[in-house]
Formats: sequence, C-alpha cells, structure tokens
Amino acid sequence: MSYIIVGNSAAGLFAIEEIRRHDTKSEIIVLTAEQEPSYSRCLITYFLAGEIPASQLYLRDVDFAARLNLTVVYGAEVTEIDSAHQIVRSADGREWHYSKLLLAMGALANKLSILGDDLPEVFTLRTMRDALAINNILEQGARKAIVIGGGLVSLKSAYALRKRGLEVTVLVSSGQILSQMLDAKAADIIQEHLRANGLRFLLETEAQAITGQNHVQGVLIAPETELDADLVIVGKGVRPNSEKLRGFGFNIGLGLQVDSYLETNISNIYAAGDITETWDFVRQKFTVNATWPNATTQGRIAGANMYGRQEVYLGSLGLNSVDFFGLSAMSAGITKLLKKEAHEDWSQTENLKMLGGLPIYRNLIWQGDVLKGFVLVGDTSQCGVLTALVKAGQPLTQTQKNLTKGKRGTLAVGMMK
Amino acid sequence: MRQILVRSEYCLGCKSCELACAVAHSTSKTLFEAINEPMPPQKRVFVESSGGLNFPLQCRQCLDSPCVHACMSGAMQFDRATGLIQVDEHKCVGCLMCVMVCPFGVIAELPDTHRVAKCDRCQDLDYDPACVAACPTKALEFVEVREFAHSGRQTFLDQMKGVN
Repeated sequence: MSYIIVGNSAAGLFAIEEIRRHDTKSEIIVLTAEQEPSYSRCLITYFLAGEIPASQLYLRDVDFAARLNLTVVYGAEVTEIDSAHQIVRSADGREWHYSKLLLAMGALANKLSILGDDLPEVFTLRTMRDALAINNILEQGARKAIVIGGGLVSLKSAYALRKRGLEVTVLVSSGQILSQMLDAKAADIIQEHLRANGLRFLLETEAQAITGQNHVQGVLIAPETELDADLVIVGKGVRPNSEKLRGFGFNIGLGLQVDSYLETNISNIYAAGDITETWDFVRQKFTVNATWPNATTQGRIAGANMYGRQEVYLGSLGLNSVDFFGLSAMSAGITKLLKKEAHEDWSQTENLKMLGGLPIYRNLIWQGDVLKGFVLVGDTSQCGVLTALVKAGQPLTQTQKNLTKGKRGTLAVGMMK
Repeated sequence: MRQILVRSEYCLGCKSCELACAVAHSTSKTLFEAINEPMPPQKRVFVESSGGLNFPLQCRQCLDSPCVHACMSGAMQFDRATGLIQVDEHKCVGCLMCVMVCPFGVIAELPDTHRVAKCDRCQDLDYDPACVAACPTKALEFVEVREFAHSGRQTFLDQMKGVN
C-alpha cells in the first residue's frame, strides 16, 4: 500500500494524521508545490500584523515528518494524473506510484486583470511566500497601502497593515464589506469599528488601474481620481485549484466533485479541502465551502476512507470568525434572508444592544422552527452551541428557542433535558 | 482512563467547582492571593442551570473533536503524552474558531491575553481535578467509566429495595 497526499495544508495534514492512526507501516508520500512544512494560511495576516513570528506559522513540531514516517517532497507541482497506471507526475517530470491518492491542493487567489497588476508591489495574500514578500516591502518603509476587496482576507490584511502603522484604504466594489459572511447590519458595525481604528473605506468603488512605472505609485479609481499607494493587496477571493486537472477524466463543477465518501469519480482518488465541491447541508446545494474546519474534517474523513473505512461525509457548512481591534464577529450557515424567502416560512430574530460602549448584535435565521444560520457580533460565547443546532437541523420547541437568548452553556444544559 | 463524570441530580449549583478551578489555574494556587493577581485566573468549568437542572459543564474530550479540526494555529491538539485534547497557550492566537464549534460552549476566552483556555483535567497539578476535589455533594467524580456505571447500578438496586 502506498498513499500519496498532494498538498500539505489543512486537508492534507489531517488526512495524513488519520491514515497514520490506522496504518503505521505503509508508505505515505506528501507532495507539495511549496517549500514549507505544513503551515497555517489563516495565520499569515497575524504574522503580517507583527502579532506572531514566522516560526509560529508552522502547525506541527519539527520532528513531525520523521515521527509519522512521511516522505515529504517539496517543490513538486503535480500536473498529470495517469489513473490507469495509478501514477502522478510533477511539472519537472518526476513520477510516483500510488495505491490511494488524495488531491488536496487547495485553492488559488484570484488575480486582478487591470493595467499595472504586474508591478512588484502588487500582491495577493495566500501563501507564506506572499507574506514574506509583503513583509519585506513593509520593512523597506512602505507607508500607504490600498487593499482591493472587502472580503475576509482583504480585511484581515488591511487590519494587519494598519497594525504595522500604514495608512490603509480598502476599496470594495459592492456596497457592503464581508458580504459573504455577514448581514448588512453586522457589516456596518464592523466597518464603523474598523473606521474608528483608522481604516478608510471606499464602497462601490472599483480599481481601474494601478499606476507607476517600475513601482506602484497609486490606484486609479475613476478617470481623474488617483489614490497614492506604495503597496497594493488584492483580495478578490479564491478559486479551487482544479483547472489543471481537466483532461484527466475528473468530474469538475465548481470544484472537484466527490461522493459522500469523498472519493472522486475515479476510483482510489479522493479529494478534500478547498479544491473540493461538497454538499452544503444548510444551503442544500453543492458548493465550495473553502474554510479551515471544513478542510480539516474532509481531510480526516478522506484519510479514514483511503485506509479502508467507510465514513460518510455529511456535508460542509459556511462558518467564519473574525476579530478586529477587540471586536469579534462570527457567522454560520445562512446569514441573511433572501427576498424570495421572506415570503415563505423564513424569519429572523434580530437583536442589537450596547454594552460598555461596544455593540452586541445577534441575528438568528429560522426556517420554521429550524435554525439555519446566525450572525453574532460582540458577545460570541453562545456560538458553539448555536453552530451545533444549525448542524443538527432539528426543529426546536418554543422553550428551546427561548434558550438561544441565554448565555454560554444554558442552551447546552437546556437541550439535555 | 478516568473521566470527569457528573451526577447532575446531586448538583446544587453552588459553583464551588468554578472557584476551585480558577484557583487551580492561578499562579499562586491560593484563593486569597489569586484574587489579587494581575491577570485574574480563568475558570474552565461552568455551572449552568436550566429550570430545575444544574450541571457543571467542562470539556468532554469529544472523539470527533470539532475544536481540533477548527484550530487554525495548531494550538488545539490531541496530546500524545496525556491522551487528552489540550490547548497550547503559546501557539493560540485567539481566533476563537474553537469557541465557535464547541457544542458544549466550554472553551473560555482569557480576556487579558486574548487566548483560550479549557479544562486540562489539572494535568500540571499532581492531584485529581480541582473541581472534583471541591465538590461538596460528590456530583463531580473522576473515575473509570465502569466504576461509575457500577455505582449507578448499585444506586438502582438500592432504590429497588422495598419495591419487591
């Protein structure tokens, strides 16, 4: 038996650990296009902010590969899969034979295609390499940054740059920040909080071109309006890294498609993490839920099934958490009501209050008596239990519904009765 | 392996366990000094009440470990030495993803350091969990599951006396 894991981030790492839990002998080969042991992409902005050293990005101890008896091959970008002969090949012509293969090469950051997007101070922020390069620019004394995009990575980047003392302007093409994660009210609260801490926002604004000859000079947002900048970070979302797998016979939709055992349509080949299209059990549709907890869970289950267990993956769930300058926000599942749903049996219970000068906001989304999602800002202690309720998908009695207004744990205890 | 198990019918909701837990995780390990420590110690057990039910909740060491899966810094991990899910305070960055997925709501935020803390079963201390030692009604027990089940059967038999 020979396992090959392509990608050593969240999904790959958890798959490896799960396989080793069951099988201590077989060969495990880990192929990664990068040059680093498993590190946390989610922590990159913490590093940029100067909150943690680069060494803390690594997820496991230095002896991890030796202890688990792994063969890790760095700089191996898999470009060809020969499923008839069970062989993977890398761009530089090396090849490996597999008995079971996991494709966990994640996602790629979307780039802008506007004039000037190839200047040296224009970055996306996905890999440790991006982070180290941006850090270099900061150490050279960059003062003004423009962040293009209003999503999670953009705002975490903007927060990090602000913490490093830069003047930061965020350009958001829509009318709301964090529109995938939060409803409009929660987004307003977060935006106001970020503004009070020195970030500048321009909503409904598109970057039209990045100016400068050999270095970034500014960003053009209207024919006559240019904003000065030494550094531009582009956060326009990610896309599954599945494009290069076209032509090898895989079913590819929004991402690599899998069955409920996380096996692709080609036998002995599994997929997990941000590359994978999975069933979102709250939204009730196939989609790519590219977040950390989904990736690790998929990785673990794919690993178990590669070993030969028959574990069913029940589906993924949109789930996010942010914390900016002491104000945290979390959301799960469906975070806002669509207009067409408002007519049916959907409803929301919204609540906003101030406590010690900080806003506490919560919005629970219901379909009938079933909790389908929520947004919390400020007090997030109840979040875990609410997430469990969203996952359970069971209708709640009125008494149980009342419990959702309580503090930590009362809900958990109330549900035990 | 011994587990922290609860007889909720004995729990009066006195919160002695909460106090003992905080003290056990203080620097000084004594109540009077602990309240004056610059960083007040954080309890990792939470006595909750709902109607007539009181229950001391702490980390249940879930087998499917949603907190470990959610942890993006590698701080929350299954610790091979103790056989428990433990959180490494030095690796934690305070992203609160674990808080978000814990179905029991028993991961606490340390407000001063913006890290998280949860029940470690007093691993650093050389005695039984402080909450168990402090419980005046023995609602909390630190026992092997089979012993707990055995005493449950014994209780059942005792209650049956006089019925037959």
